Amino acid sequence: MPWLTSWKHRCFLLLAVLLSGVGLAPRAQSAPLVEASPRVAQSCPDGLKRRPFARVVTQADPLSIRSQPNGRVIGTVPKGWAVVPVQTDASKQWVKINSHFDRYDGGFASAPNFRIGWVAARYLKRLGNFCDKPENPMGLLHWHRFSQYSASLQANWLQMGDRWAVLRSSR
Amino acid sequence: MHSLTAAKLQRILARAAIAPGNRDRFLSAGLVIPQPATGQFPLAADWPTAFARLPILTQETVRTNPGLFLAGVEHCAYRGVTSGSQGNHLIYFADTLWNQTRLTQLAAFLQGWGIDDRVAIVNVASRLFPLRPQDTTLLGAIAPPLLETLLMQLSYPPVAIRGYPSRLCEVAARLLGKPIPPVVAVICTGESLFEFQKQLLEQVFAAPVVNEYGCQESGISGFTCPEAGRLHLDDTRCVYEVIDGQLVTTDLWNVVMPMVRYQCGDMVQLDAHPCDCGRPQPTAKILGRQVDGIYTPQGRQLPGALMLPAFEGILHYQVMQEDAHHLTLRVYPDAHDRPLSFDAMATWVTATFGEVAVQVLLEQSPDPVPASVLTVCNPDVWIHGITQGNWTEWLQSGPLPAGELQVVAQLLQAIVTPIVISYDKNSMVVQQYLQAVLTLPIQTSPMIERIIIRTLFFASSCLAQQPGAIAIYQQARERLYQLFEKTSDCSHPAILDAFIATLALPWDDVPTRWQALLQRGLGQTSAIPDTFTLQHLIHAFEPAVQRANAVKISPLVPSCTPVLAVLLGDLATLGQQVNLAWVAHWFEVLSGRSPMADPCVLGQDAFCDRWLQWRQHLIRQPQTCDQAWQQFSQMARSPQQQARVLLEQGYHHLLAAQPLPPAIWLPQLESALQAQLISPVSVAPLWRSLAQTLIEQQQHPLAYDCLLASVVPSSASARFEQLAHPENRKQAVLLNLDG
Repeated sequence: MPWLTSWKHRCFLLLAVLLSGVGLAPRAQSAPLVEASPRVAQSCPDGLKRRPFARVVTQADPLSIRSQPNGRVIGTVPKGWAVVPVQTDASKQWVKINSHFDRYDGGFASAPNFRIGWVAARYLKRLGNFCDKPENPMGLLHWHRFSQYSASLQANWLQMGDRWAVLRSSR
Repeated sequence: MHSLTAAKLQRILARAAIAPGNRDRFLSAGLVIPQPATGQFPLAADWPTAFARLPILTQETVRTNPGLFLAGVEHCAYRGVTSGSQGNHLIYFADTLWNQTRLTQLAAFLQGWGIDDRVAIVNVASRLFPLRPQDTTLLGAIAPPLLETLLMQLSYPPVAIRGYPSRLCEVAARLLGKPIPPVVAVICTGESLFEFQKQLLEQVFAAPVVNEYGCQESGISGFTCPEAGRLHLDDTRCVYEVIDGQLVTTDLWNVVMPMVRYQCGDMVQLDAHPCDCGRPQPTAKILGRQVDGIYTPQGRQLPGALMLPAFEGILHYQVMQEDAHHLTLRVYPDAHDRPLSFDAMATWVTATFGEVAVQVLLEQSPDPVPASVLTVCNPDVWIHGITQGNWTEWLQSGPLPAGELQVVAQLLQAIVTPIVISYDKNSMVVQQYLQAVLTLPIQTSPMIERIIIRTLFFASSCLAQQPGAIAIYQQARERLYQLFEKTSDCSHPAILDAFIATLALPWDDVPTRWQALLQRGLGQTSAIPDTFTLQHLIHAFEPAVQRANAVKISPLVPSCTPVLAVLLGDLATLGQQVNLAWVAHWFEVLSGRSPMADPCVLGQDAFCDRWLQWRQHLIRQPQTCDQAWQQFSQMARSPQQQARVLLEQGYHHLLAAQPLPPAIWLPQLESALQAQLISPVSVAPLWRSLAQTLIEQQQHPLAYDCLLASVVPSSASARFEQLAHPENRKQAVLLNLDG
């Protein structure tokens, strides 16, 4: 079951505790999606704040983005993309997502149809809190020397086998 | 300075002067004297004086253009990546001797804690690769599968555990109250270690807690001593200085990317007096990085300078400072059946951070995670999936076949997607499933029997370095013979698996094994490889190449490094064109001899047949292969075939020790890669050769990029990144969110 649903059942009692003698004031309860993550990254470089990220884990590419929970489709986000969940609806079934660029409501080279909007919660997997968009696990080993060309050099071995198994001829 | 250190420093400075990134600094300090006639920059006579006034080199400067700091690529054998806690990584390179020295010093420090070669170090839930062959890394979410595997590993003593203190505390909190097998030591590294963490780890694991410091790219590291608990810096591998509280080092060993007066960003406080333990090394307190400063009434202080004590009733906690006036405490209480008092914590907060508004997030212990529900599918569906479908999809969605095949599927899963990263792919989980598969009776269904046989061949390849691998292979082969007698089916890819499995096994018996299979008529196979075959080959290549690297018989192994990239690249081009003749060829590439007297070409693709004939000539008679080259290169029609010809031409150059002119080769390779005509992995040996030539041509940044691209493929590294990245990063327990 995706993490958003299990949120109801587990951990994180958000207590605004007034500690007498220290002058501690209760603070407004934050949206669960933002505060729910138990993982906290290192302090961020200038200008960046920690935010929760989630990975799109659809079976088929891509995930539809809707104008409101279960509303009309306004865009799509590719499988594997990391997004920032910012709000959950009352049913906990829908999550409003943002990109790693706050409030930028446009497309990206790798996600041309990206829009700020709502997606089905079950297709998001929590990654934890990060200063910036988490890299592709193999990102460190991408080679970018030539501007038009980027190759994954430390590929996923299982994916290599799957890909090559369908090569039928030397073309 | 000791004369030996001075000699090493002089050598490393002379080497560093080659790197253009050092040139201006060295000139401005008068450390080198330009020689216009030769274009060289020898050290000045009074270099020790000049060295002292050399401007500092920051990590950020190196990260901006790391290639400028590359001095050479010969002997390059180590690729390191900084942790990138600030969001930026630096990939650096070093040579074999540097790595050996690092491991020797590490062993000496570990010895002080009773950790010798007999003690396996298990890295837990932290992005730390195994240090030594006997070590492992356990990765993934801190949840029952990881915890159960850890307890299983600890039950085979002697074992020490190692990890980021924050992650180890999460693990400890989940194990509190459970019986834990003896642990030699708990080694904390990568983050500041605070008092409350030390107490929790000591309590749960009943073992001493060791603090390890390391800034590998700078050549400095250190361990606390058992007697006094002070952090001893290893000053044998570098010259270190402390300037304005910052650690500045000069690595005395790295000749590939020498870091001279390099500031990695850590603030330290050196102890004025020698340690009571009697060890000669300097001792210090690591305070943290300048950018991690915390607001206190006394001004900004570094995390390492603050005391985070243990509090009764609280297992561990995290302090997040949003600004000078707001603090969030994430608190993990140790029990829920008694009221929690915050009085002591409130007093500590006031004393440490002043009058601040505090939000407390009280985190309950996670509920026991329900056992994952096993999705069961029909055995036919599963067999079809792993032979005709996609392993990635199967392993993500995870349905397991019902009946006897379930344990077969679990064995495959444990081998190809382990949560324990080790050098030999062996683990207790793998052994457990393997024993169960080995005891499965002969199946009446040929389809089920075939997949058991194939899985055993697959396991024998992946565990080829283990003593039991031959027995696994022999059982699989006997079962195959019995099945073949019943079915006489020569067209099934299971036959190819029998030959593939010999690649990684000890080579002396390979011709005999092939002969035995051929005598049974299995050499007449017309099998078309399926997904299982391709996965088997990919996983068999790695241990087979390890064997080849150890014996160094094949001419291709030293010339076309990494040779694994050549084999994987072949497979990326061949796909389903793989046949028995190719398997025989790969054995010959690695071992220098053919497993068949006369390996005939059985393929159905004329280009692939010519390509194989060319390759056989290249291996056997590299000096007289002109005719084979003509026949092969003239056969190329499609852009993909022409790109393959280009690659083969490159390999031929490497085998003949001819340098590749970058002006010609870089554009051609770039063009082929851009058009996706060749697999990037197949180019790795050419990049390595080009890097050498580019250094000679003073094109250091381009050489660095070629070195990056020539990375040795590794299934363990790939799996490590896949698991560690989302779950096992560093996690500061005291941090300033305000930057």
